Parts: sequence; C-alpha cells; structure tokens
Amino acid sequence: MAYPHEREVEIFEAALELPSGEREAFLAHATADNEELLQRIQALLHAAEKPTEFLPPTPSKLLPSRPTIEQPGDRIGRYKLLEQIGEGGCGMVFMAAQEEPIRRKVALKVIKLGMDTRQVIARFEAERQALALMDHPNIAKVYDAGATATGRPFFVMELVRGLRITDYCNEKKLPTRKRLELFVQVCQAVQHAHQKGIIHRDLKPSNILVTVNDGVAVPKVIDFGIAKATSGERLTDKTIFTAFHQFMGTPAYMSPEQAELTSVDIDTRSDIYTLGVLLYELLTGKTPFDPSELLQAGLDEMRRTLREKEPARPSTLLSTLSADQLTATARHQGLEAPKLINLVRGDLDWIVLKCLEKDRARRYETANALLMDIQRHLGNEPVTARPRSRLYEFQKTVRRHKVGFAATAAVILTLFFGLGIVTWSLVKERQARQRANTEAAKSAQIARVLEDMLRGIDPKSAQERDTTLLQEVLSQTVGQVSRDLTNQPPVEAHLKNTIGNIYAALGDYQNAELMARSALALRQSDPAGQPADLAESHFDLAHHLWRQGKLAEAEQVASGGLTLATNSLGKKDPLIAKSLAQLGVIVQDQGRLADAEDLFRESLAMRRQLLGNKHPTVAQTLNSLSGVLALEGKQGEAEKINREALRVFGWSNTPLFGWSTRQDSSDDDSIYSRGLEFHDKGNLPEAEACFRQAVTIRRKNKHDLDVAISALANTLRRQQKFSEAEPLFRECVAMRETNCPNAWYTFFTRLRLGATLMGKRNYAEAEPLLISGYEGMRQRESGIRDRYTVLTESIESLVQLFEATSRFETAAEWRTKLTVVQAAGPRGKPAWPRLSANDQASAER
Amino acid sequence: MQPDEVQTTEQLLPLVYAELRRLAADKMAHENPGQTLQPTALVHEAWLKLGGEQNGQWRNRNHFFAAAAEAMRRILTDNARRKLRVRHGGGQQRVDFDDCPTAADSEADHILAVSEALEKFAQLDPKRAELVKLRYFVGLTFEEAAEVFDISVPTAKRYWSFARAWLYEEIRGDR
Repeated sequence: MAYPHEREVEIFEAALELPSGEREAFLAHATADNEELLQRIQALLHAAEKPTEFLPPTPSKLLPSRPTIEQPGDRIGRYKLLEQIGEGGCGMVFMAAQEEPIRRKVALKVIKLGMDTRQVIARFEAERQALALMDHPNIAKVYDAGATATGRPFFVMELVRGLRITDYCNEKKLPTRKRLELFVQVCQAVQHAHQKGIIHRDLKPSNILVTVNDGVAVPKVIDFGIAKATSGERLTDKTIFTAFHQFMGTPAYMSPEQAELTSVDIDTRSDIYTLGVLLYELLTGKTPFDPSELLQAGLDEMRRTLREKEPARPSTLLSTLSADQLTATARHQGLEAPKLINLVRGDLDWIVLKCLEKDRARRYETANALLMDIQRHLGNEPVTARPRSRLYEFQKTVRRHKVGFAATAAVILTLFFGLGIVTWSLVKERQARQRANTEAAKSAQIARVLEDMLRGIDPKSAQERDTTLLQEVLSQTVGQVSRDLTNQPPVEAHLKNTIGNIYAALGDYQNAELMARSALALRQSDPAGQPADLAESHFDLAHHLWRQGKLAEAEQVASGGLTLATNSLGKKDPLIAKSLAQLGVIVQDQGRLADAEDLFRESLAMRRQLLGNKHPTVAQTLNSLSGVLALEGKQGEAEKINREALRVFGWSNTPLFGWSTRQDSSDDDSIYSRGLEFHDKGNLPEAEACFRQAVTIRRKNKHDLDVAISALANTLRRQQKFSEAEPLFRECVAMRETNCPNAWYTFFTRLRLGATLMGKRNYAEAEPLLISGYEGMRQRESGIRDRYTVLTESIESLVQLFEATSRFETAAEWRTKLTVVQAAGPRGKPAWPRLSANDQASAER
Repeated sequence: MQPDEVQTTEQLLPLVYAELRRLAADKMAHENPGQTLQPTALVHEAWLKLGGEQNGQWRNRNHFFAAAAEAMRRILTDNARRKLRVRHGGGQQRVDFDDCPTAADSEADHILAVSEALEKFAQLDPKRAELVKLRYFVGLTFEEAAEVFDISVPTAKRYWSFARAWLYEEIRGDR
C-alpha cells in the first residue's frame, strides 16, 4: 500500500460528506495524482452506497428468537399468574392463583432460559420426597415444579410476603440482640432441612424473608431444593452450563468449595458458611468480601479470594468503615458507633469467623451448634468458637453471675480506683514522664481486664447467684496468670493481688494469703517496681493474715507497708491513713490498746484532712477509736466518739461495709447492716428476718457467709431458738476452723455453739466447746472489744454447766475466775450501739 | 462441543445479548461502571468459557465491551462454521458474494466471511473494527455504541460507513 490507512479514511470520510457532484474534483485534488488511492476511495465510496442488507446489525438467523417472557394474566399449568413480585438472577417470581386441588395463592418462580429443563425437573423430582418431609414454621414449602409452554422450568412455593431479612432488620432498626434472635430461627430452619437431608446451597438474604404475624417477626427461608435442582452436578467446569449456573449464586455468599467449579462435593457445611456470611451482614451491614470487588476481579481472582483470603473480623471491618458509614450501620441497630464495635468484638467475631473457616472441617458441624453458640453468647456463657482461655471464662462467669459478684466487683473496683490514685500521685510527685508512661500502660492493661470483668456487673440487681463456678474458675485463673504473664511482673502482681482479694471476699483466706504473698514477692523483685504498689501488697497480705489470726506476722507486714508508704508517698496520703488504721486493728487485737489508740487517732486526723469530715472512712476510724477507748475503760470518751461515728455514718448514709449507699438497698451488705441495727436496738425478730435474708443471698455469693450465719445463729440463740441456732453455729464453726483456725472469732463461735448446746441441755458436748472457746478467747482476749461480756458470759455458762452436772467443786473454781474477770473489766455493759465483735473484720477494709 | 452444549449456547445467547444491551442502556442512565458491570459477571464468565482467552480482567468499560464483542464474534463464527459443516458434509465452501453478497442463502457463510475480513481490518484499524463488532456481533445501536466508546453518534456513523465499505471491498476482492 503506497499510502497510509489514515489517509484513506480521511479522504473517504471527507468525500462522503460532500454532495456527489463535488466529489470527483475533491478526490482528484485530495489524492494528488495517486491513482491507486483514487481508485481505492472510489471503490469504497461505491461500496458505501450498497444496500444496507450487507452487514446488518446482528445476524438474527443465527440466534433463536428472544425468549418469550411470562406475564401477569398468563397461565402456567393450573396456575394463573397474578402479578410479578420479584426478579432475581435466575428467574422471575410471580404471585399466582392455584385453583385445584385447593384454591390458594402461591409464589411461582420461572427459571430463566439457559437450563436443561428436563434435568432441572428430574433433579427436583429426585428431591421431592425429602422436600415434602420438611415441615418447619421458618421454611416456605415447595409444592410443585414443572415446565412452562416455552420449556422453562418453574417452581411453585408457599407464598411469603415479607422483606429480605437484612432489609427488615435495617428498616425496623432492630437492635443486635433481636437480630441474633431472628438469626437463631434461621439456623433452626436450616437445621431442620439438614436433618431431612436437604442442603439449601443459596442462603442469601433474598432467600430469607421476614414476615410479621400478629406483631411477631418470623423469618422464612424460601427456595429450598431449588438451587440443588438448578445446578448441574454431573457437568464439568468446561461447560458453559456449569459456569453459568455456578454464578447464579451471588459470589458474596458462596462458600469456598462452591466457588471451586470442579467441586461437586457440597455438603451441609456450605450452608453453615453462608449463614456466617449472613450473620456478618446482619452485624456489620456488609458481606465479608465486597460483591462488586469480587465480580470485578474476574473468575480466577474471585475463586482465589473465596478460597484463600481470610475475611476481616466483623468488629475490625466496622472499625475500618468511614465515620459516616459506621454511624449509619450503628444507627440501623439503634446504637452509638463505639457501642456496636464493642458489642461485636469478641464472641460474635469468633462465631462468625468459625462459620467462615475455609476448611469446612473447622466450621460448626451443624446449624444447631451454631445456634447454640449464639444462645450461649446471648446468655453470657462462654462460646465454643472462642479460643479457650481461663481469663475469658472467668470474665464470662463474672458477667453471667453479675448479681452474686457485687461484693467481688466492689473489691475489684476498689483496687481499680486505688491503682488510679497511686498512678496519679506518682506522676504528680515525680514528673517522671518515662515512668508515667509505663505506669499508664500497665494500668491500662489491668484496667482492660478489670473493666471487662466489671462490665455488666450491676450491684443493684446482682446478688442471688452462685459463686461456686467463680471459685473454680478463680483457681484455674491463677495458673493461667502465672503462666501467661511471666514477662510482665507488674501486671501479674496486680492480678494476683486482685485475685487474692476475691478469695478473701469469698472467705478463703489461705488462698488469699498465697496470692498476696506471690504478688508481694513479684513486686519486691521488680527493680522498676513502685513503692506504692509494694505498700498496697503489704496491706493486702496483712489483712489476709489478720483474718486468719496470724497477728504477729500481720503486724510485721503491716508495719513494713506503712514504712514503705510513708517513705514513698510523703507524710499524708489516703493509703498511709489506711495502713495506720489497719495496723491499729492488728495491734489492738494483740492487746496493745494504747498503741492502737494512737494509730487510730493519727489515721483519723489524716483522713479528716485529706477526705473531709464526712467521709465514710472517717466514720470507720471513729468507730475503731471508740472501740479501743472502751477497752481502755475510757467510757465517756468512747461514747462521745461513738456518737460522732454514728453521725458521720448518717451523713454519708453509708452502711459500714456496704457498697450501696441507700438504706432501702437490697444487696446483702445493706440487708446485713440493717439486721445489725435491729439487733443492737434489741429488735430481735426484725434482726432475724434481715439476717435470714442476708444468709440466703450469701449462701449463693459466699461473700462473708460465716459472718451472716454467725449473726443469724446468735439472734436465734438470744430468742431461745436453740434448735435452729445449733446447726448454724456448727456450720459456722466448721467454716472458720477451715478458713481461719487461729482467729479469735473461731474460738468465739465455739463458745457460742457451746452456749447454744447448754440451752438444749446437751452438757456433754457443750463442755469441751465452752472450755476450748474460753481458753482460746482468753489467750487473745486483749484485742476483743466485748471481752468483758464474752468472757463473763462464757464463764457463767461453764459455772451453770458444772452445777447442772453436779460438779460443784469445779463450778466453784470457775466462779472465782468470774470474779477476777469482773474485777478487771469495766463497770456495766457498754450502752452504745456497736458492731458485733467479729464484724470489725470488715470494718477496716 | 457436545450437542447438548450447542443447545445450551443457543439458549444462552439471547440472554447475553439482552444483558449487553441492558448494560449499554445503563451506561446512558447512570455513570457507575462498577455497578453496571456487576450483574453481568455470569455473562462475562460464560464468554470466557466460550471465547477461551482473556482472563476477565477488564481495565474499563471499553475494554469490557471490546472483549465481549470479540467473544461474541468467536461464538458466532464457531456456530456458523459448525452449521456449514453440518450442511455441507463438513467441507467449507467459499461463497460468491460478487453480485449480491447479502443474498447468500446461508447467513453462516456471511458471518464467516465478515469475521475473517474483520480480523484483517482489526489489524489495520482497531477502533473501527471494534465498532463493527459491537454493531454486528452484539447488535448495539449507534447511540449505544457511541455511548460505550465515548464518541458522538455522527462519528460512530462515519466509522461505520468506512468500515462497512472496507469490509465489503475486502470480501468482494477476496474471491
């Protein structure tokens, strides 16, 4: 060719624009004597004049005529089409009227062309028997199948009028919980079908419609049996047939094994996968893989994605949404954005990901297993999808037993806040940025754990639950903490301290002591450790020791803690005040009353100054001070201080040990405190009622159970109800002998049991109890505020016993002892309302 | 291909056409290539199976339509070849277009001839060859084709005139 193609085109097009008369001149000029080009253009122009039959758009004879499309009004077999109600990837859906054998409205789905109608119907027939066996309120029945006049397959189904499940949820702004409840019903439907041997294969939202019956939303799964019938199993992926049909399914809902075109091995677990996609969408508004991205990537890439790419966790996906999208998604569930992420994070993430496992052997075995996990999540039980960890199970337990954990929660909460204060003061004092950062990171980590545990704990409503499981979990948590946190001594120490305090709240002081010791050791060997933390550990350990009656060691540890606190925190600090008061109690219990008084006064002054006159801890310290003053025989001052203590309690409106601040509160601490008040006012029946209630609650949560039992038993004893009191005292003695064999109140309880048995004239058993109780008390007497009353009472009981058993000589000996005790004690009984002796145990915590 | 697959192809083709036309119409209605391409995934893949090459990576709408048109050309050419084989006992015959090319009794012959000529034309003038494919093998109107290629309708018509004339000359001269 002696000229470029472009030139040919240019001249041709220009010439074509001209009237035929002007063309010749133009061509002669344009081709510039290039004869070949001239002839060529002329030929082309000639061809362009040819009739349009040459190269008509679309060679129609090669193609079959356009498919005839069924329309409302048409009849298909015995069904009359009424209106079109849907159009999907594989066909059109009509509402149709059936006239015989029964009159009813049905849904009729005509499958698009492109299928072998005979085979579709044959496959449907093969499954018809099984389909007929399905009878479930959440499954739309498939009644019939056949071929239209144009040879297309159709299916007749129960007519379901409703919205797609995803649209319904969003339109109704269904909260997450309600969504899960709907989803559970879908799982039930799928489970039912699977049991009948039917796999759905296409559980996308458009196949799950929600109808509302009498105000109740009922999801219905439609199209069961249809995907199976319309997919050709025996064809290979070389055929257009398979390719076409495989992609009738929306790839976004397709399991990896379904995406594998060669795979004919589809089982129930494909449906589980798709349920996972649905759940993902219900929670996040998105499918795990973006459908348009999947489609645009092309077939191979799509398969690769479905087979290999791990989907983002739902909560992760949520957090990657734009702020607007996230807000919209959350609003659909009636939530604030951060709340939604929190709600989805954890259980729901795991449940969804377990459904979406690429390896189907790792998915839920059955739809039932999936729905059970959802229900576990709803019931705050550990889900099976979650990788097991003790801490997780512990958190779950705490959440599930939120009521019974009020006391535990309070302990944790105290520590939690305590930590915050310590951190803050350190930062303030030292201005050491580096340290502050470490400290902040540490507390953040602990805070997260604690926060997790505390989330959902509501002291108001949360009491009558069993803590047995908590105790089991606790012991397992200990191992876990030691194993998992070895490289983080500060965190491990904090957790151990916390766990120790929970043990103490549950009355298990031996384990509490072990934990506290371990925490203390960790902190002592940590070069970067904080003196304040160390002081806190001392305080906790001292408490647990003191509860067990290990007074000498308790004092040693408490003084160590006090020294540390004073050295590190300066002269005045709430922690120092707390340590002073604690040491006071320990010293007092060893009979050093003057020392105790000094310590209480010092603590009191510090607390007044730091916390104000009306702080509950001020009342506690006043109470302790009045106690020790009474023991010292300073009755006048004791009474004055006591009145002030009561006034402060009144101001702060805080029961002594309760965390609740209201008198009508129904937590066990408040009830117990009310019982004490009645008891001290002499209203024994009312006191009994309160203590009974407290015991009932504490039998479940086990928080200071021995204290409540002892109080109830004693109230009964004082009303001469010895038979009722006896088993309670026995129980209390047994508990205390196990938990704190050396504490004075263990002996005190023996005395009480002995006195009760005396009331029943069971002298043989009463005698050793009274004597051992008396001896134990006498050795520890100096610390007991009511020693006068207690000792005189017990001696009087023994005198009575020996006289009743005709051992008059022994009786006389004891009478002498009584005189000695009376001579040493104060005149008269204390006249002020007071805490019963063994409740002081809680007072300084 | 097996006989039942042939049948399947024939059943499928109208769908493919419908889908393509709908797509082109959509393009006029709103500009969102991702959205409008999406529903036809099954159709692309169908072509891939039939057309063989091209792994479904569409750079853009033009590219997609070009590939679709090429796939259709192959499908139709194969179909035509098969029909001729059946009719003429397997031998391929050259048909004389000289006097009245469109009067050829077999549209299949015509398609084969156009297809071959078009292959040659595509080497020389890919732009105009694409337009022919879309018009002739996909059946788009000038308006639709113009929309797909982002050219004006008069330009599309000019392209068509030249291509058609060129092809006519090519087929006539190829006796």
